[in-house]
Amino acid sequence: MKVRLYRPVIALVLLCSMFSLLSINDALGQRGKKGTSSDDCQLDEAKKWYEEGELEKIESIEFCAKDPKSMSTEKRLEAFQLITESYLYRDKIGAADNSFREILKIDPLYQPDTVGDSYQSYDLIYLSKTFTRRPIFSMYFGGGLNFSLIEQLENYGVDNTSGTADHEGYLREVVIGANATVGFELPLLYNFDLTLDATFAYRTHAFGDSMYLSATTANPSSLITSDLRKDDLLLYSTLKFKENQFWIDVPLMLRYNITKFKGILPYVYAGVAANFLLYADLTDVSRRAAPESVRAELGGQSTTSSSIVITQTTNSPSLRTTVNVSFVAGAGLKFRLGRNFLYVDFRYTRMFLNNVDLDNRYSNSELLYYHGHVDNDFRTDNFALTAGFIKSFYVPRKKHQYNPIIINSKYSKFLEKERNYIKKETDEDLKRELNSTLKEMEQQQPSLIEDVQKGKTKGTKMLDDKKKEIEDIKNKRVKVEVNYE
Amino acid sequence: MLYLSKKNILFMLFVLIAYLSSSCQKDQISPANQEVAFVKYYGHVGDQTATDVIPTSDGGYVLLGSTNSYSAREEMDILVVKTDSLGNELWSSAFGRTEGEVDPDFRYLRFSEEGIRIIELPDQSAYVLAANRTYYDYPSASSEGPVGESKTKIVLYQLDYATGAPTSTSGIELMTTGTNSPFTEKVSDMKLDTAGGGVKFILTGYTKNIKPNKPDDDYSGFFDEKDVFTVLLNADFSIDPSWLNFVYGFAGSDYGTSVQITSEGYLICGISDFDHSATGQAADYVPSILVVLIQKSGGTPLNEKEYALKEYHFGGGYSVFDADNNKLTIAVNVDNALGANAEKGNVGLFQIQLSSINFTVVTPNSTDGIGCQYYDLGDINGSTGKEHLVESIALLPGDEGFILSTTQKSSLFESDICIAKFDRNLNVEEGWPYYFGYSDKSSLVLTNDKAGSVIPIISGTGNQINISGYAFTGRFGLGTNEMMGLVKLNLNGTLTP
Repeated sequence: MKVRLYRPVIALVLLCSMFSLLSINDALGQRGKKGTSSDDCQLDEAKKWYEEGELEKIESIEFCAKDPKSMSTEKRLEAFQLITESYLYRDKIGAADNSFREILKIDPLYQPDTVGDSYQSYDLIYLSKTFTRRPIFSMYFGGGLNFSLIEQLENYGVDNTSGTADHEGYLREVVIGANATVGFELPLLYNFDLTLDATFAYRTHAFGDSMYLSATTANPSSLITSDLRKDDLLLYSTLKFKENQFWIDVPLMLRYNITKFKGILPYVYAGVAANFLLYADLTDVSRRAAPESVRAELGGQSTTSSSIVITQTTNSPSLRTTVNVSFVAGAGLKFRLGRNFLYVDFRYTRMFLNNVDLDNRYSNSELLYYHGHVDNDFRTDNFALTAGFIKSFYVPRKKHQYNPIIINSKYSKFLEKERNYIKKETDEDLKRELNSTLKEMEQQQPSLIEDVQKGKTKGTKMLDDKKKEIEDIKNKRVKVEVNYE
Repeated sequence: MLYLSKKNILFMLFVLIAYLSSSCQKDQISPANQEVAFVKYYGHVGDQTATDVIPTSDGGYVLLGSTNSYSAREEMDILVVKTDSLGNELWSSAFGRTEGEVDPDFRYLRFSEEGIRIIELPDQSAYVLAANRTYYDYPSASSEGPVGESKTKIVLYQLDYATGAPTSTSGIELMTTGTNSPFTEKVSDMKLDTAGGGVKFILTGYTKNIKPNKPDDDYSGFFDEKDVFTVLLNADFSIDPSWLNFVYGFAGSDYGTSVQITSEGYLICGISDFDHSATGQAADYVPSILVVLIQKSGGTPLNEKEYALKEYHFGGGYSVFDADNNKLTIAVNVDNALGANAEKGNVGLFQIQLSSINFTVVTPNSTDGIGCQYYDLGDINGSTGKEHLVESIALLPGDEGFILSTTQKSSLFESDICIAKFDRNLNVEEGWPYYFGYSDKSSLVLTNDKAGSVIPIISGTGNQINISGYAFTGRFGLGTNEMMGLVKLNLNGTLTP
């Protein structure tokens, strides 16, 4: 059973490695690709046309340049830069957008050279800023280590459960588990991503429980001479084991990316997860009665079991609940690797629900009758450190604040709103002034949207400016009225 | 003024959701009610046994058994554990007669004591227990092993109600035949008789100080090892002056297992050797079921009946009396090794209707000729034809039937505890029996468990009595050592909340 459960982890790690190699090969292959067309789609002629001002002719190479086999990647990039520039000069902004999209298809992270390249105009630099470089979708694969902390919710031991003696607990021994992850991230607005993954986790913790004797005047506890714990002579029989759990977690998380650093993308995230327990067992189960010096044969006996399966078997029901719900939070760093990333992630998983199946708490006769153990109610906190690879998929697209359709729609709505306001306005002077301003704004609309589309101004800023302009008129009129009074 | 951009607002919202998700987790955890069922172990690193459990007026339990965890030698002391209603130990008390006394033969004596029955006095002033004390003779204090077991005597202790400390460390040893009597006497059962507002204790068991010259004894006492022993004690453990008949028995071996208090007298149930041989032929003694009704004053027998079947070697004889219906129910077991019968190892239930001093067998569905109904209770793995030794039976209020405890013996080293519930018609109820114990497939890992008393857990009074579960005690054979145990089962005979 164990071997079979480890298989997915190994498979995942291999898959992750293959993807990494493929991606690197892919990137190298793209860079070194040579053109197959003998005239490179008339790129040299196009350059001449550009210098001679025959810009209309340049678009004739566009169809040819779209063919990835037509020439090398570098030359295709050069061709589309030239085509985009030509459209921009001729104010064909829609065509320039499409042409720039072709550039991003070739190199999703393309940035125009702002220093010393005669073909890259400010217009192209502005246009470039209107496109997002964020992937539309990413897949990630990773593996790492984890550590579990157990919170006891209710004590159900076979000895006193109401006492205050510190006789029981989830040991502070550090036992490390392992995890492997495959997941998807979907960029949302404002540097937020939605991520969903499937994490295969081997989680483990150690447990210890000592039975203890209640000391009373009638109890000859002074005879107890345990050598094991001089400080607490009343603890007399200690059970220890290591619990191993194999989980599949499916967390859905909202991630916030911090984009201030070049090449490194720190992020934080939080979400909820469904957790599915596949298998659990207890290993190295042992109870040992404390030896007593009062009588040679007294104490020192022990029980041992190398492994006890505590999830459902043909003979016994599961001692553990097989479904849990958890809160997940974490932080990490993404390191750019070409168009993909390597990442390191630290994740905290807080399971909400009791891990113990209440109906089956006493159902394992070996644990109950031979070792003398009853599970306490408990829940799990887990801390995982994972490293892995992110394969990103890109689709060239405008940033939200430069999207002409969105901004145009917002601008129209703004005008409509102001028109409605004017209808209700009683101050004729103000009405006139606002009407005049609005008319002016209506006339400006196409050119303003075009500026936004070109990247010369942010759509949101342009809208804010226009709103402020209207508000200023309204406020000015109010002030004048106040002055009259 | 702090400028809050949409980004910052979203981020703060994100952190807030994360915090709220984390902080509300406690509400989603609902621990089960531990009052419904539990398993508890008591004792220390030595060996413990347990024979009796009673509910106490505070809703808890008192358990009685023995332990050698605190002894310098292997001999056992009495162990009493008081628990709350959840089985948590409130106090425990271990005591016994101090070793080292020298008997008339100048031997060094050590004592092994085994608690048998414990009673909470009605005024809650003390606990009273009856135990058997066995004398071991050692050549000297430094001797490793005893010369032998010389005798067993009945001993009574009174315990402080709050701490369990005995008022006398050596207890009161019952002296029916004078000081230093060499005869063994053992107690099997003790009941509290509060008739007339007084406190008296009626005990039964056996004595080896047999009544001589019995009629129809063709063998001059050769098979007559034990007789039924009965005694009525006052509150101070002195023998009631009216009591004259301590010993009752026949030409074979007889012993009393349980005693019941009826309006007509004390009803002793036990086992008596019955001679199945024809007149003039060699004796063919087979243990049979014995029921004797004796006078409350003096102990004179009023009626007696032996229920015998050739080839059926009965054991046990634990009983329960339904005072509302004047009906006695006796639990026996059929010896697994002896006799040629179809019920070997099985448990038998036997019912007698009392009418004045007369007995009428009324066991439903009995076909064996004497009125016993038999049950193959199987074992923990569902196998049939296994050996059971009856240890206790209790009446369930409201005519709900009976609860029975047995020890299911698989081998010398492996035994489990079996708890079975019977309805009023003596049918085993569905879902029962419950088994306590463990052995692995290769029988290398074993638990040697032995049942003690089983009781219903009752709440309410009069017509409002409810049963909320069942509790039993016993020797629980943990892998490390044998412990005194207490289990509370739910009404279905499981440990499910």
